[in-house]
Amino acid sequence: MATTDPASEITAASVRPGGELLVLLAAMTPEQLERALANLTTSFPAEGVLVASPSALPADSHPPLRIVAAPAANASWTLTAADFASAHQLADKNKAAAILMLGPESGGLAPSAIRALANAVLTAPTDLAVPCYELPPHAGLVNSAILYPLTRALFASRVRFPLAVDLGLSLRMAERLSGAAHRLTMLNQGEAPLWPINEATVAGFTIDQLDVGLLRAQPQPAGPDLSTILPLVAGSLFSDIDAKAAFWQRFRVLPPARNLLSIPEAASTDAAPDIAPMLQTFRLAYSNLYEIWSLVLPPTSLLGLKRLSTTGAADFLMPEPLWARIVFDFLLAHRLRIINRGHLLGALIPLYLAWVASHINITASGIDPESHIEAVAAAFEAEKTYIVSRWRWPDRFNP
Amino acid sequence: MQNMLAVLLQSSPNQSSQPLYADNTSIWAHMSGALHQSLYRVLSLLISILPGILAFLLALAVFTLFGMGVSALLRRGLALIRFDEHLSRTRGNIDWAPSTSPTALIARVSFWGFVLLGLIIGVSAFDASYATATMLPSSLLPYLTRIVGAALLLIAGTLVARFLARSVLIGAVNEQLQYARFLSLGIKWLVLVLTAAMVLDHLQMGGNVVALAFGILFGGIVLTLALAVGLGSRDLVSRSLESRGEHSGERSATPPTAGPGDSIRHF
Amino acid sequence: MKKLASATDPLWYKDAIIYELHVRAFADSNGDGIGDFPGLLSRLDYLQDLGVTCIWLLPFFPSPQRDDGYDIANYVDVNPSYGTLDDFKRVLAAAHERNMQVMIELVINHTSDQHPWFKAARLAPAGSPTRQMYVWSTTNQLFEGARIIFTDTEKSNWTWDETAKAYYWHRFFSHQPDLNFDNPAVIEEVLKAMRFWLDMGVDALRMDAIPYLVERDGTSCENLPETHAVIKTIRTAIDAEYANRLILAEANQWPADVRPYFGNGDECHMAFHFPLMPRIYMALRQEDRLPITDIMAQTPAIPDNCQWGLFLRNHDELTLEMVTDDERDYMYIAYSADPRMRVNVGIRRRLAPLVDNNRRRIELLNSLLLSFPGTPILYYGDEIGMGDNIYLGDRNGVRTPMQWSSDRNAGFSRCDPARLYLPIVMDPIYGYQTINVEAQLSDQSSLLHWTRNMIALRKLFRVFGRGSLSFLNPANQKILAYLRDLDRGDGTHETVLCVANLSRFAQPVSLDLSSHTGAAPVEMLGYVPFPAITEAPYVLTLAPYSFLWLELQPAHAGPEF
Repeated sequence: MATTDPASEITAASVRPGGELLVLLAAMTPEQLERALANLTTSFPAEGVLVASPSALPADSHPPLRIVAAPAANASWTLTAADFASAHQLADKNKAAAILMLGPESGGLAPSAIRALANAVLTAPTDLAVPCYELPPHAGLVNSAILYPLTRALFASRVRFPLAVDLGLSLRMAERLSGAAHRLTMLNQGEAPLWPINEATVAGFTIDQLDVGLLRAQPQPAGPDLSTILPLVAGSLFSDIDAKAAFWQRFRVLPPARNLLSIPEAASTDAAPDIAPMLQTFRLAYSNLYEIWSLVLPPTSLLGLKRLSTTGAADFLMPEPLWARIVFDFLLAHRLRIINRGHLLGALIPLYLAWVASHINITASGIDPESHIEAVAAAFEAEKTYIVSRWRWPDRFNP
Repeated sequence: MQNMLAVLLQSSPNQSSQPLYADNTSIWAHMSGALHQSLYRVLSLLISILPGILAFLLALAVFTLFGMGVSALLRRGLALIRFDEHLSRTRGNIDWAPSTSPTALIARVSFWGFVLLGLIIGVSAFDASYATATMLPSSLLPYLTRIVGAALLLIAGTLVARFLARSVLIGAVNEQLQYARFLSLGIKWLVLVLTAAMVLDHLQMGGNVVALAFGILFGGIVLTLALAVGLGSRDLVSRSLESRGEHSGERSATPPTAGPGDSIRHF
Repeated sequence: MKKLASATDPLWYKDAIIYELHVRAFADSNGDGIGDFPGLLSRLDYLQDLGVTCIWLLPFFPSPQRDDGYDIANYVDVNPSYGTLDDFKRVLAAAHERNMQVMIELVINHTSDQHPWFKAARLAPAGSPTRQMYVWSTTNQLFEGARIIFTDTEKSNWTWDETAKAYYWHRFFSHQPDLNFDNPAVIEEVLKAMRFWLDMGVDALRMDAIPYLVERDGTSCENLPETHAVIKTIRTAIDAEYANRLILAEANQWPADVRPYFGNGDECHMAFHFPLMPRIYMALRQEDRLPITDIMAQTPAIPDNCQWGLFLRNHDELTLEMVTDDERDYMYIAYSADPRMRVNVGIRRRLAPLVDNNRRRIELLNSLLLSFPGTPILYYGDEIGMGDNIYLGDRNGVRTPMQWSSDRNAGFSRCDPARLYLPIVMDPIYGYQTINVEAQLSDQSSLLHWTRNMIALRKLFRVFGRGSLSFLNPANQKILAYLRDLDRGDGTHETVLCVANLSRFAQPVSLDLSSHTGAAPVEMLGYVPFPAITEAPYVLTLAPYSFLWLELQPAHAGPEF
């Protein structure tokens, strides 16, 4: 759905009964905290809003916000299971009607956006309000390459940022997420990310996606080491998809596309990033990791990769169906435990870098990045038959 | 034979040669006496060992049967209480992939445990009944356990070597190290050599010579690997030094203007 | 008066079922570990039972055995390991008694370097007739355009001979010098050898490596007009003196390049359709009929008295010479992940291991073999699903002893197992304990019985060997549907609709059979009537890897049930 009216109009939908809004702030530095609180003060000038923060703050430092303490949390670039567990706990304790979870850089969000998120969950029937950020080109590539297309193809949700760090949750959404978090914590994976979109779709809750516009600084992982973070995120998503197999293997209708209200970007005047190192990694991986890939990928994909490995940098283009099938095959291999999961996801990284190189080439030739990513997501949808058939009959003798 | 010789002696008319014949009889007597004695010794040794062997076999057989019974009972019992499902419900996805269910594993382990127990008891029974002679070295039991331990070490070492080799291969490729395959092979052989050395040491074979040889081999491999890492990771090191400098700069300043190389953000 | 062999129909090869076997690999009667003719004699009943009508024997001539008998040291005798000439004559007679024809090899492109001709040639002075039996040159720069065929072992087509002080030409191994077909004496000798066997009563000759007979500088030295002239000479000689014989050309070329080997019906009677074979495997793996329909579209029409020879596997590697580079890459990745399975430009595996020992796939491929236009050629052992041994060198992995029973040496021989010419396959999946003729004969559901029944079914209908082929093009790419039609000459037609599912999942298909409206399809294996054909699309559903043979009977003559 499109942006809502910034003014706090109560729409035709009913307001959630009782309680007030609980805003849970993530662990952040004092400067970020100040900005966030100032922002909140601007967003909610009138009504009282309960703010919980893991950093110690006096209760009345920012009227009219009422500040309570939240359980201690580790600074993280994404919402973890522990965060959702404490959100539900706090909401329960303080009898909140809805929860707004804000990440470290929420000080950069427009107050109207925060308000919109809050309103969405305060009025039923929306259970999950997800922001749609406007990021600079070539940012959030893992999301564009893997997270968004997979979520869209399998869970029929057009949410552009499934791993958004700012979320609006209704009480029952928080309860459900807290249950999922509890399961993860029992497995000592309290710091792993959760997938709210997947949970909401399986439970049949309503999801609302809101444009929050604006370029904003996205929290980055502490050590931006692709080799550790990508396996973590992808592995977590793969496990989640595995657990919900009975759900997504049914025919689903995708909601209609949103009208993108964002102004089309002026063509970036920056020079296109250098793809040579990525290609080098891919070619190195092709010669060294080919045996591992041949355990996971079928002959047609291997042939496509072989062709790519001999293509020069200028013509380097990974076809969207090839990428879709690669991700699906890795998803299946993750489930079947063909090789150790850590090794499997480590072997995915060079392929992901090859996709990034191809994406950069495409955008450098003038095509809008968003339309390419939409094409990628469409390819994932088209290959859904592929993953369902291979999931149900994992035979080695296939095209 | 002695009788024949005695007859010969008595029938011999030549008395002067009697002392010679008398020496011969004693030599023959000594020889046959020695043979008899050794035969007696060996036979008695065998006889003394025999009950030990029988005891060993009996203990092994009894405990194997016992083990079969216990494992069957366990299997049935665990299947009845649905142990597998209970386990998967509480523990969820554990990242290990046994090819059989926990029930089967437990049953199997218990069976082999009993067989092992029978083996141990049998061997020590054999030891106990085998009284004196010092032909065999000190008791068999510790050596058998050593062999078992060595075998386990070997298996574990091989598995670890393979796992590590693959981890290193993937890690090195992701770090753009040119010698990735070489490194992975090196690590694998390093671990295998180490395992072999540990196994031989555990079996107390070779002693110092083996230790020295492996030490040299080990050192050689480590040196080669160090060279490979050093040569291959010059870029890596320089990159990591640069990025560390950037990071410390970034934290204090506002987000810097994006240069062409920085404009990719994976997250 | 032309000499007859055993076939009475001049076009007997159009209805034949050819069985390729190596005497060495089939059955051993004297316990020396090498198969022989008396052993083969004892097994002819099995072949007759299977439904085979023509036996193709791989070379059994005296030879140093450096190329499995294709390096011949004497054209008119039998290798003593396999028996004597009399033994061969007995086998020939016994086969003819059972109404089976016999095809032997005529390897005229080259001989062994142990052949008396070559031994004399290297000692003879340059230019002399003896010398000119072979192709010599002082330099190895001649005939640069010719490609190397055994790329794994040979680096050049010329080899220096110390005794002769010259280079000699060889398209294959260096110990197989090529005969010089510009020399009429060579042709005479070849005809002499040929007459020797045809006089004995041999029905058919397979011309091995026939595109390479003649060399000319500046060409690829393949398929030259002079080569065709030689073949025509041979064919004329045969037609003049013998009746109802067959020449089968082994020309591994694109279909358009094989067409000249039929001439105008005055060269070879049959030729192998090499390019079709890898495409069948590709179509199966890719689950797409395009590779097959594409190559059949490129296949030109041949004279009426000529016939294609179709095969799924043979004694050589599954050759990938006649495919594009991309297709070759795909086939390597798909069918031979282990580099040990590759030799020269092909894959050296048997039928069953290639398709992962999946019974349905084997049956599907055999159904294509038996229903496509041409004469099917079965490789020994494939009727029971024999496996291979990729650890044996060269192409020996597919030439292991025939597995007759689960006894010692798979019933092939009574000798000490260490004496066998090649070890028996004994892994858990394809080993002789599981895969053997005796077991499959007693198992009614075995592949052997299935093959026997299918061959018998094919023999009931002449349309398979003699009819035309036209593809239907349903929208579902995973379905291969084609019509075989034969005009009986009395106004009636024998028409069969074949539909095959190349996919591992069940598939629906909608066929346009409006040209046969009114016909009543009857499924051939079970004689089951299917719904009559109408103007509307004919909808069928096919199980994974299944096929349907439907005889289209005229409406009023349909079975009444």
